[in-house]
Amino acid sequence: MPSLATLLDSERCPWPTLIATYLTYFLIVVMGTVADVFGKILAFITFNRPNKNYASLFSNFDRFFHYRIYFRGVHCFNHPIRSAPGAWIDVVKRASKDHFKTWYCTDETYRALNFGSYNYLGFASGKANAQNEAKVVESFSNFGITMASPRANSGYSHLHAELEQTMADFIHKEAAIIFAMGFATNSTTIPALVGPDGLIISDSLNHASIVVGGRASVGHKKVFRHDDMAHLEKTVRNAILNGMPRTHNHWSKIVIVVEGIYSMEGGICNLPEIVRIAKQYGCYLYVDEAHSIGALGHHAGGVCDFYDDRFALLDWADAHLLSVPGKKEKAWTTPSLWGSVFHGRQPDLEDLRQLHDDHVRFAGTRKALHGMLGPQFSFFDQVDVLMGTYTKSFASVGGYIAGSADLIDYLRRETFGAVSAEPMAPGCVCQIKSVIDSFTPAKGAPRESANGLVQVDRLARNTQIFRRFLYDHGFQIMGDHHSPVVPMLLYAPNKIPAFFQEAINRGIATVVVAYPACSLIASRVRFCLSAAMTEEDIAWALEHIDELGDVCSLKYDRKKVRKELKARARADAEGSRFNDGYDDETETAPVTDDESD
Amino acid sequence: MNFTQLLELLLKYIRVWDAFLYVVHKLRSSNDPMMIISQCLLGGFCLWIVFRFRTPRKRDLRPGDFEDRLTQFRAGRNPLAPKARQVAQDAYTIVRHGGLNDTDPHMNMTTVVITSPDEGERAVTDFSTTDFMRQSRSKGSRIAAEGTIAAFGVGSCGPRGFYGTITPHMDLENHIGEVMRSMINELITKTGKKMALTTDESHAAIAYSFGYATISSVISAFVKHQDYVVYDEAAPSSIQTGVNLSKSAHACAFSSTAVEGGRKPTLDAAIDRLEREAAVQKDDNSHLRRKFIVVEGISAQRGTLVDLPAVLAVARKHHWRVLIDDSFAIGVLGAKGRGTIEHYADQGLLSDPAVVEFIRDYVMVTFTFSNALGSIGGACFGTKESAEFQTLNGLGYIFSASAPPYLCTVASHSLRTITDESEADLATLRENAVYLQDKLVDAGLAVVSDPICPMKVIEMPFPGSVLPRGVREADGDDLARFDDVQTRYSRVCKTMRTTGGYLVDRTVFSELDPLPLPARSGVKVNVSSKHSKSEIDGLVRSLKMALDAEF
Repeated sequence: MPSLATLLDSERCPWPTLIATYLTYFLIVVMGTVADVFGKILAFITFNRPNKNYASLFSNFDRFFHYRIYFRGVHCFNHPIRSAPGAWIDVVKRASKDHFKTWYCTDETYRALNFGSYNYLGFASGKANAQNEAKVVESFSNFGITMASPRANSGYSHLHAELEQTMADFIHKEAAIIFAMGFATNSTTIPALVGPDGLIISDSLNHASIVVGGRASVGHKKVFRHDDMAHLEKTVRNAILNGMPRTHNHWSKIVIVVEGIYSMEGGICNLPEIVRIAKQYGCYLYVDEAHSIGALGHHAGGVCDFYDDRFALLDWADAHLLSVPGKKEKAWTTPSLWGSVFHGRQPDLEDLRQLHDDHVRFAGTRKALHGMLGPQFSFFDQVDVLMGTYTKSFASVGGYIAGSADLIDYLRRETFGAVSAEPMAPGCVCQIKSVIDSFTPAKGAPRESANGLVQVDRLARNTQIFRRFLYDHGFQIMGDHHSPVVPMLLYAPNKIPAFFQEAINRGIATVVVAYPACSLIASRVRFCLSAAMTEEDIAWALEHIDELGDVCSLKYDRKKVRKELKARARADAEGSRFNDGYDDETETAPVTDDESD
Repeated sequence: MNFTQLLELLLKYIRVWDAFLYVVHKLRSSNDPMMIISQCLLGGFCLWIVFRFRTPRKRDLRPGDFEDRLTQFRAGRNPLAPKARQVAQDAYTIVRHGGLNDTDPHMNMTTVVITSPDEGERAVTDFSTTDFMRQSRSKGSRIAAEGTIAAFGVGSCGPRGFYGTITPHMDLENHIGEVMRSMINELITKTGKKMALTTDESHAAIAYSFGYATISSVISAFVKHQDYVVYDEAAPSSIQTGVNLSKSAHACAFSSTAVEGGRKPTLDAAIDRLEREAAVQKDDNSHLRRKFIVVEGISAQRGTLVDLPAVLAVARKHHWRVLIDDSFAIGVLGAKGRGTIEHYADQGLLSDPAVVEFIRDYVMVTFTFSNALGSIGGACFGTKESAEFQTLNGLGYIFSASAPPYLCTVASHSLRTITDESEADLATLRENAVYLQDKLVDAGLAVVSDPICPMKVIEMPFPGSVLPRGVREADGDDLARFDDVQTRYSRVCKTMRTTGGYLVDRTVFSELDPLPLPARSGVKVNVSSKHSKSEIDGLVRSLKMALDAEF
């Protein structure tokens, strides 16, 4: 149950919706209890265990949740598909003979646009991946399907060695190690890093693999509120001040664990501030880039790449906008750096607005970071452990850890992922290697010649279009403006199956998320964008989603956005919006002039 | 002082005053006041002893101290990576597996090309991979994989719940379910007693994307804090991680080779101990506690075969469920390669109808595809309810991306080949295993594995080659001796590669073993169905020479 604070915090949720949501859950529970009572009387479900000597596998709560709550929306989940998880998929139509207790697959399918898979760069199928697939098949004639031995024995081939080197170079680290499963990468590495006198400080919404890693570790764990930097700093300070429980000895090390993109929230972590805290207090930083590697950054390098670009732009804006007053107009319109942040697009007002917001938001952090690290630094060097998976953007399977040579050498010798688990299949290694290679254009060739970078730009374009449309039409969407994961809030549980079914009937395959994957009230639908979608696909989908928003009444922010748009138009007409946050004495740039250029 | 603190203080003194009054009252009413006074003094002394070592409380640390604390912390901070013990590593990489191209007659299914900086590139006979039937190199597997890649791409791009369930995943689960159900149905019909056969309504299998995570996910899904689990002390780290993750308050290791007065109890004794403890604790909900015995069909660390009938007898006696990790037994044991249960059924040891009924209802089988099935992934077979439970609670199932479809197809293909077409091959494999065992024993080498198991662990009796309490808890001298033995084994492996032309492994350890177990260093030899008798003879000859040179 959410605390009172969460309740009061949810200012975005209109009060009537909030009350209706709770009421719905209350009704579901009441109805479930009533059904249970009747069920007991009529013995429709066997509450008596078949054999008294063996405890039932389901506990009472599990059973209640499963049969009385989860089953009400069970048709929204676990849909199998009958095609590659590309832009368009064939979702299997299921049917039930016994009042939705069990389902069987029919031969029919829905042809649907895929907003469910993590196919960010579109390498799951089709033309984009043809070249990679050829390399995978080629590897079969040298290695067969698997290595069939742990890495520590004879499971390490030259393909694995090459990929580790390529990966380390790709994210600017000394060395890297690869594992055959993303989940196991976290859950076997974190216990290896932290001993009994170490502390893990973890974001409250971190992925289950990190939680499992923490549970398997002998170290201590503390959690800070999601994306709450003040709370993180307080947690770190308290940890250092108080030391270990009871003895108050100093911690041997403190590791902060965050994710790049939170898959259920769509938010990008506030890496600059986290780096600042880690550096200031001497903590180690572990960033899980499961979703962000490939999907973020101009060079697909993940969240570090993303913030490197943004900081470069902010520095540049500082230099040109604030200290050279005479050249301001020119500075804003010279697209020398626009390319790397706006993915080659000509920036419009919205981009500049965000740039301005960033400038205000990161002002303090930037000052502190420049003070600690000098004028030139890269976030790649500031993060101690970069972890990521190959399941998403790379359309393969597995995960990596990148860091200093010492760290990787230690992991190679000690983690179970290397010592006793099976290594990655050679075919998957080839797929990943091939995708990473496609991120580097040939020497002297333009950016467009690299297949991977083209996909990166497409993804950024799709994200922009999609997020802006939803926002402007009054949907409540979550997460950062640049994140390709777009969760949209539904709130009421009855809207979950409604939205899902209506969407799939129209040919839009989405993922709906409800408790326990998110908080009780914040049920949501999640769109994962992909570079494989064309502009027409996106426009077509948005048209339908707009219509669905009216059908399911999801445009909670319509009035607010309308007001905001009006105010914005007025402000743009006056050209006065970029005043605050900049030096008041110098005259600010008339940014609106951009559009006339 | 604020109001709360005042209240606390007041409460504290009221209690002290109460205690004082109580003592006075006792003193007055008692006929032996000296006894009470002496008891009070003793009590006070105890309290003084306890609080004498009182550590500074939170509020003793002032925020002003923070800068000092920070400086001290930063100065005493450990590096992120602890220093790894510099044990010799077998530094070679695989260049090519043999038997894949028909063009090279010297390369067959048992050869592999390796390279290393100091040894150069060479073709050796492979006694290292656990792909006992060489399914991962078979032509059928490769064709199946290519077909799936053409249809479904390489990766699945999502967890099972989010459109990551593609046709191959469902086909694989159905196929495994079918194979295992047919095995149990054969058992049932053999007993001649009338009981319900298994159907796809009653039993199902569920596939995981990674073999190592399968058993640990299954254990941590079913065993919660209050539940009971016993497991073999020689269990591999995957099982131990599972037990560790379950945070079970009633976990106990047993020893399958326990001697009287040994450190670990036998299975029966371990269960007895846990049940006795439970009886003492008077748990009101004890009938809701799930109880599991976790055994391995063939031990991954020792290569020994579990005595399944005995385990089942104990489980039935105490009403515990059984979870069999058949990773090394699937595709190896049984006339059709369906694992430990089939192996014992073939010998007629599972013919009691009550036992068969128990197997049907309360036994779950998990296995990985990474050994005889020549793929990557894992599966768990059990009742439909257990499979459904895992789709909601199995961490490795819900939160992990699903396996690439082509690996599922390969696993399915291998399983089909092994169960339907490979009776002769399976016989050859077991024959090879027994032959190798005989030869090793004849050569006077200490083999700990069972004859029928294709993985042989050879442990030379040498001082310091066993750490009874695991790597983590061993002291420096023992560890140094142990490392020395490991270096010797490493040299043995190197000699085997360079002069003998055979690829063998040594057992590898991690300092991170979640639970202490006896660490024993040794050499591992994996024989496959494709090895010829002369290759085995050659291996034993050169292994004998190499081991004799070191030990």
